[in-house]
Amino acid sequence: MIVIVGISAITFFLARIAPSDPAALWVGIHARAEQIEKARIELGLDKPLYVQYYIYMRDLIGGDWGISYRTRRPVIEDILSYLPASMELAITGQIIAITIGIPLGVIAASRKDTKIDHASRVLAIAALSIPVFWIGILLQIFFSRTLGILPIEGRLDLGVSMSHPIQEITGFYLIDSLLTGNWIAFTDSLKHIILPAIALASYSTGLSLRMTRSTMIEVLREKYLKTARAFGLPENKVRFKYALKNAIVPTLMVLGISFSWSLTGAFLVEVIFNWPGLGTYVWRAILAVDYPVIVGIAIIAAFIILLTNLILDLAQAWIDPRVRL
Amino acid sequence: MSAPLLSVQDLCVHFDTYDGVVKALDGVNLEIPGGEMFGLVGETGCGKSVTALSIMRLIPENGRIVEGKIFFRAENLLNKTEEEMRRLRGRNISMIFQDPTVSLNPVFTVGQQIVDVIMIHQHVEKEEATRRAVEAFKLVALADPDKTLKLYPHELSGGMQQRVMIAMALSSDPDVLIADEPTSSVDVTIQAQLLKRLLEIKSARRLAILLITHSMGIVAETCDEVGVMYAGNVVEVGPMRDVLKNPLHPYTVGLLEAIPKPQSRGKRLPMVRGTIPDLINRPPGCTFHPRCSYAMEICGVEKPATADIGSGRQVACHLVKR
Amino acid sequence: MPELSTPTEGREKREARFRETRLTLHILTRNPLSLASIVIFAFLLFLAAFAPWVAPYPDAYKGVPHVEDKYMPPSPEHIFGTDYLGRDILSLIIFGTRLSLLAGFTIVAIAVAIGWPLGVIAGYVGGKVDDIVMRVTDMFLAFPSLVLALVIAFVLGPSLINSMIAISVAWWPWYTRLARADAASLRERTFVEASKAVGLSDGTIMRRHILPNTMAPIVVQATMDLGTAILAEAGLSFLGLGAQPPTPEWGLMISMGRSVTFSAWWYATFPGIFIFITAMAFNLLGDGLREALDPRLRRIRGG
Repeated sequence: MIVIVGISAITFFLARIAPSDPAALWVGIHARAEQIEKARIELGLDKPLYVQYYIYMRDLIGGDWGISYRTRRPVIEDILSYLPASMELAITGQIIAITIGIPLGVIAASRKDTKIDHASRVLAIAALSIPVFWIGILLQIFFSRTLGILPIEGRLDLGVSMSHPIQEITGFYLIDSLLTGNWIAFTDSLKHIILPAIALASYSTGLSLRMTRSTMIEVLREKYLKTARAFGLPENKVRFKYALKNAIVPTLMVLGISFSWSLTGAFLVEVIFNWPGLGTYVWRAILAVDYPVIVGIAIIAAFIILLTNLILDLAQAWIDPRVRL
Repeated sequence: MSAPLLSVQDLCVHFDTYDGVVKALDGVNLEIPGGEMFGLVGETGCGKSVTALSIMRLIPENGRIVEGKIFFRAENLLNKTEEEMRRLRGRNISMIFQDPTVSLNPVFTVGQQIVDVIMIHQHVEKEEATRRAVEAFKLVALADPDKTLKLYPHELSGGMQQRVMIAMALSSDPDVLIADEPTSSVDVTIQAQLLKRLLEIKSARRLAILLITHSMGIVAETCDEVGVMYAGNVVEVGPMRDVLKNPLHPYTVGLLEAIPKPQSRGKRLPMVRGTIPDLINRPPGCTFHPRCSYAMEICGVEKPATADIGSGRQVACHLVKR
Repeated sequence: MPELSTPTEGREKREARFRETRLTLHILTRNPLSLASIVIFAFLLFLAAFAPWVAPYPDAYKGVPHVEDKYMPPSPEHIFGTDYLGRDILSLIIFGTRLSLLAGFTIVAIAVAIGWPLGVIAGYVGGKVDDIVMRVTDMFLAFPSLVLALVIAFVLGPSLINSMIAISVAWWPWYTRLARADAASLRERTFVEASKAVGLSDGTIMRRHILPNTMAPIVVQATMDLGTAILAEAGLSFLGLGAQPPTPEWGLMISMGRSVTFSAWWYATFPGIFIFITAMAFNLLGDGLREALDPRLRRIRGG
């Protein structure tokens, strides 16, 4: 047992330093131009993104990833089949979080030190303090048991999936059912996703609110806004055009961190709501001591996060002319 | 003499801080006629910038204008609404600041920023505004104006950034330009060029300029009139030559003596002894009296009123009788 | 301000620091929110310290079952109901306060103890050491910390202590990064050159000058992390990788309560409320501390 533990631990860490993970070096916030260039060439990163992905996939299929002890299927297959469900949940949760968090943050910053500001700060901190798993259970108790209007768990009603099956295009039930005009399945998926998404969104909402607020406060203090006012620019133009563009960059960073936390929370939420995603898959793997799966998931999770950070970095470079890639 | 373009009367401005109420301005009086360069000079913290910001009504949130009037073309600016002030700013009265690197928005090109200002004040379309922006850049002697429009602030040198600021300020042909330490962040050669350019524009357009600086040297070389400020009061005002040759207020005397001259080589540089006073608990009587070598008994009791002693000179000191 | 200290300056520095601390406390207590959080924190400490005397059923801690009382709903005898062994939930929660507070502080303490000095060394020494440390840190940071902690806890075996270790191990990189950035910029300051010129060794410089000057952001982050630490630990226990039954740990209780969510809703609900309150108190405190220490905000009083 100890030998297996040792090997899996080493594999785990080794896999982290695997050549397919150089984006860690790339995305490092303190990276300088020459370092990045060197890394890119050395690691073949100057190839277009889909080519890199192909190489990565080739490695996967090449046998690094093994077969799941539990499902007896190649780990990659399992991962791919469960991935869309998790992504859908995570993205929905994020959308809810930023729809509430960012505008509130902007308002709180503009009306700093007023009642609205204090209230939003308390709200943000409360959102950050709620244990994700607990709020999930509470939501279940309240909406499913007491009110009975929303389903307890799962992604789609068994009956609905048989009578109105969703055609798989993207793997996202919400999008697919919309695309195919399958209204019944759409409303059902919506009912199923809303509670877990809210539970998931709680922490991220608090995070987005708080960070947007502090970013906006910083930006609103900046001297160039004083100049803009001195030249007679109207206040809402000052805020929305001049201030906001400067605030977007740090906000994107916030989104990156927030998304990272989302994946963590998604894990817990999936377990509670029996959501058929990677979280549940990994959970079962852990219970069954299914090592290849655990290692595989670890790498996938890291990969997703790095990819997200990469996208956000690119967005940042596009918006802020001072940033050099 | 025609009525002054800009006139500040008995301006008192207070700031609320954790430590108490800071009485930054304690009765400031200023008059600037059109087409003249007025230098407002004084130590850091004496209230020069606060005065300028008060004219523009841009003082920070914890500040209050407690008393006084500010007349621009016979209208009291303190009675105007925020919207009316906004229309004045950048159009009739412009202000430029000390450090251009933080005064320009880093994520927009300088072209975008100046075009925004022109479009707002002159109500023209973008194309026309761009054309006028090029004209403004030519006015401040920026090389290659068309190219420069497309650059970001961090791609320009400090001197060029300041020229952009001046161009933005003058783009709508204002009557008054307030320049708050415009040359403190650039090196001496650029400083000389910028000031020379400002003087040329001043003559060509009959522009009134309020130049705020801590350097007596700059004022001496460029200004028509000078006002000396100390701890929230204007203690002496007068035509440049006269004040230089014959300073009346002890503080002015001290400032002028502190300028290094060739003759003072080898000798100790005279300083005004002491430090600026606590603005929360101002000393009674004349604010300067604790540091004044000529202080008399009355100086610690009664605050001297500003006395007009003819030929455009005013002093606030008990030593000077009308 | 970082300075070399001479004997007379030492006393002045101490006095200045004393004034600064007083001002910080003053600002902290003026804010009603942080005041409330301090009160809550004190209350929780009280509960933890005096649990055997405060809890209505002290023997609940020892796991003595009253099986005939199991799963009783809230009532005057059992304000929060009873669990699967018939133990009073309120008492369990009170005893659980000890575990949570202990977990929170321990996790942060370990993470800071590892991360902070490492960051200072990396930032100050620079070069290869810095590179290696930063690569390792980046690797950890690219990963959702809870999942990492999960795997570590899994590898170590489920227990309260192991979960605490796991979380600390997942968290120290944050402090390293924070400390390193500060240390790297401090390294360029003239007083470091001066120290070297006087003959101080690198180790002494780091210990006496760099370390204390990087303290402020670390303290703020640590305070804010206390709440998150408690949440993380509860999360791991909920998943079964932390405290094991019959320990009265809040996360564990929620997990046990989950299986009877609909019949015995009180089991899962009340411990969660306490987790929420505790985390909220720490977060509010951390937030208040952050605002109090912000140099710019200290000058201005709102109109």
